[in-house]
Amino acid sequence: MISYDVAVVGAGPAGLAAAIACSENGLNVLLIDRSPKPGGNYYKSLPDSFERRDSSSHSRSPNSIMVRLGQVRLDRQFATEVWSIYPDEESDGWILGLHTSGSCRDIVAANVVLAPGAMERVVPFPGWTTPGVMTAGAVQSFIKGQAILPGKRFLLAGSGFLQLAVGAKLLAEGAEVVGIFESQPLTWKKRPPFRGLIGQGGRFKEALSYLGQLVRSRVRYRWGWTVIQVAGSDRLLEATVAKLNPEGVPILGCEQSFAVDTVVVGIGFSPAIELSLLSGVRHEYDKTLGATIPWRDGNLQSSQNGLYLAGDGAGIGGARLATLEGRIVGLALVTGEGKASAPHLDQELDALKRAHRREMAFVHWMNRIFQIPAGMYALSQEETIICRCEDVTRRDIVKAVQMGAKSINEIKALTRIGMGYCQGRTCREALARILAQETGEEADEWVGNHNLELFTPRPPIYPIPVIDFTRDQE
Amino acid sequence: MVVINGHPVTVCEGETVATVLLVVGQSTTRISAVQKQTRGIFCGIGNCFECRVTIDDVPNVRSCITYVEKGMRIETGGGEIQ
Repeated sequence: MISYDVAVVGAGPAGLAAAIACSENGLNVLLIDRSPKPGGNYYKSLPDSFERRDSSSHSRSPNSIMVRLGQVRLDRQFATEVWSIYPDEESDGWILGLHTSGSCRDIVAANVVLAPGAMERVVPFPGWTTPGVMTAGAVQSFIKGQAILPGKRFLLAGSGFLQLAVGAKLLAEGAEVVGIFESQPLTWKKRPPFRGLIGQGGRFKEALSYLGQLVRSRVRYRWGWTVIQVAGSDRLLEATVAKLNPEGVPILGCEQSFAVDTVVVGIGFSPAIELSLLSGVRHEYDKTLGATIPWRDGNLQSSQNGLYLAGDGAGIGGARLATLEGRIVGLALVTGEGKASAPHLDQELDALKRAHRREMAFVHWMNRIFQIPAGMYALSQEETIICRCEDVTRRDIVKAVQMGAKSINEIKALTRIGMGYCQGRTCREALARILAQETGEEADEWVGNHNLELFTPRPPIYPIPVIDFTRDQE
Repeated sequence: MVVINGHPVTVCEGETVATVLLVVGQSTTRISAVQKQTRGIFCGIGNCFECRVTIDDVPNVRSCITYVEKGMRIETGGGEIQ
């Protein structure tokens, strides 16, 4: 088995920063990513083979970090997914199972940096499985990564900064947008704390530029509204939106419907914790984010030696925070490994941690104002599909609860929810909150007990054709 | 050039299979396991597995993260069990 000082899982902003920091200081690094190109979902750029067009502002020309990546010496394993992680008793490091289409192999690393990024959160509602309903991240992927609009006539109904950014981008690209509906209400309570604004001028300029686009396009833009139903087929869709009360419950009588071909949903992000859960490190429930995250110390190391986490895969904070965290992890590893002990590295690490604390004030505010009200998980009706992979409906969940199921693992055993291809990534959160609603529990307190809101982790964390295990890459 | 459900389609290097399906207006990628609903691209980043198609007789390949190759045969509308 090939052995490294550090294996970095994920080549987005956090993974790149960590891999570069480690390589720069002499560590032997393997950088792994599922995509054939580095950059993750943030630094998404058009394929080299495409004719160049003017680049979008949000992707922020990736030149400097990509140039740096090209300058440092490290091993790359792209178009590869990591399907397992085990502690290696022999070396006291970690064994990662890698899968590239057609074959599998294992590698050993003394240290691992997990930077797998996040998953978009979607609240199930009637008709959410209809083709043409897709996440803001999907739309952004198509525009940034493929120079294509995934539809002609859009309605956006979700929550968070990405919805605004994608809406503005669609308008700038000439798409028809019938409306942008933010589910959070606009209230004075959402004003940012002064501390959260320090150093964030660039962000607010960005937000203002998006709002400017909306104003110029005279698009309908409402706060406190969301999509409650999508009907139709063959991309002839009717999307119905409604105003929400402060608990996130639709107010009857104010519904409006629009004919579109694409409905863009997505109410935020939660960290992709499948690998970190499998590794066995300690996790905790972040009440502000409303999601389970891995516990980390001041150096962003997990509860186990030699496993670090950076970026959106450990908590939702965006690309700037992810880059900071990646570099913090890289330098902490480097100084920890004793490969380079230099006062300038310690100084840089201290400066990075100060910058991290400042950035966290802003991040904390963003996560707070976009908290998902529990009422939104009541949008799904009895016949609404909750588990898209296995076609498990809300009614099936209710029946399982009536049969005595008290945790999502028990509901999984009774209904097959979470047993499909996505392994519960899409439905887990909604399932936990629906279970809370059906058992009459106070959602956050109850969901916070992580044994109840997490499926038991087992490898492989992605479906792999058995035949690929028989073909070893040496 | 790839073949989608029996029809030849000209593609560009660097395009994903999902992109090509959108361009030709093929919104359905698969049929769901129990209720036989049509499904299409949802998350676009390889996590939800709704975009699965059959490529060169290999089923359940995520079209959103798979790049086109010359001569690829793509079939949509597959069910869970092939």
